[in-house]
Amino acid sequence: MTRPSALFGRPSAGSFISERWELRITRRCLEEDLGVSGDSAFEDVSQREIVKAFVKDRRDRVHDTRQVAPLTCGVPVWVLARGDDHRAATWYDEDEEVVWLLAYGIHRSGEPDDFFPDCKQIDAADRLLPVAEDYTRMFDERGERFVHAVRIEAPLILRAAREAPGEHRYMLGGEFGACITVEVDDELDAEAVTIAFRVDSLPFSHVSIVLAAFYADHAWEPVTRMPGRGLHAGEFAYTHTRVG
Amino acid sequence: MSTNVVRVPREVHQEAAQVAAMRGQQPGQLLAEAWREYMARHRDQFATELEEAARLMRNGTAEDLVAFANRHNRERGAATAERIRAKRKTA
Repeated sequence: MTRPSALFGRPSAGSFISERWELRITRRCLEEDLGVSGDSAFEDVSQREIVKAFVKDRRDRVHDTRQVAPLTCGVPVWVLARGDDHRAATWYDEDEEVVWLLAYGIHRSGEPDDFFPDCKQIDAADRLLPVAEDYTRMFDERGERFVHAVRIEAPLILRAAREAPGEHRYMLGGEFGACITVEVDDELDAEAVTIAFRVDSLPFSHVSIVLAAFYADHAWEPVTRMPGRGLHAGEFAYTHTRVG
Repeated sequence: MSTNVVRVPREVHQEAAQVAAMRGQQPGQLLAEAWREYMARHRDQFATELEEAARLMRNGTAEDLVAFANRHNRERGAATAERIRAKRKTA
């Protein structure tokens, strides 16, 4: 999901990027629990105790020892603890490969503002899980990372593929795998570039950008095989031919 | 320009997996077929999008290209939030 390796272990806009997923904080949690703008960057709150714990404890594992329960949201929400009283609730959205910090508060058993009853109230009001705005912001940031990465990567990949005949496999924008073959006919001064993608996890809106990053014209045509083989299950491919 | 179909939907994945199991095929094979059919039906739309992406790649700014990449994100964000809300337990 657009996690270029150069960003591993670092904050990027509203996320902290780990190798297997990203960490994010919902707008509601930022505004109401951490008391900052809902548009804050991850780095803006990275020195908060609970955010330090979020990075430390969720960059490698999405589960913990105890769930916040009972809840009505229908997904497993895990307790994140820091020290004696800092408590938070996290949920791993496996489909989107993101761990969300959903709520934060201070745990003081029996007191009216204890974190756990507060968290259950937020859940009961259907305000615990991320909303459309949270996901839209995440997708926007992923799109931005993807575009910046693919504009740099495509010419480098093309150059490497021209230098070494055969099929090459790359991760584009840290997001999805692509196979590329460049065939050159010196006699005709012609070049054919063929790129195959896997269907799963490929945003439709990115296909045209990837192709245009390799050749910025619209002379791409769908094909049913790679130069040296048929397409694998779940693959589709485009080819671009330039003569002279 | 279309504002739908951003990604092969989850339901299509599940349906493809079920049909593939019945036919003894790989789900990815059916998804690729579904994708090819989709692209064949929307050939003109895709050509327009490719032309726009190429124009932005040649003459546009990085911001223009990002806006183009993110053009369906509002719908995609709403659909994702809806998928999550569907997990909610009803009283």
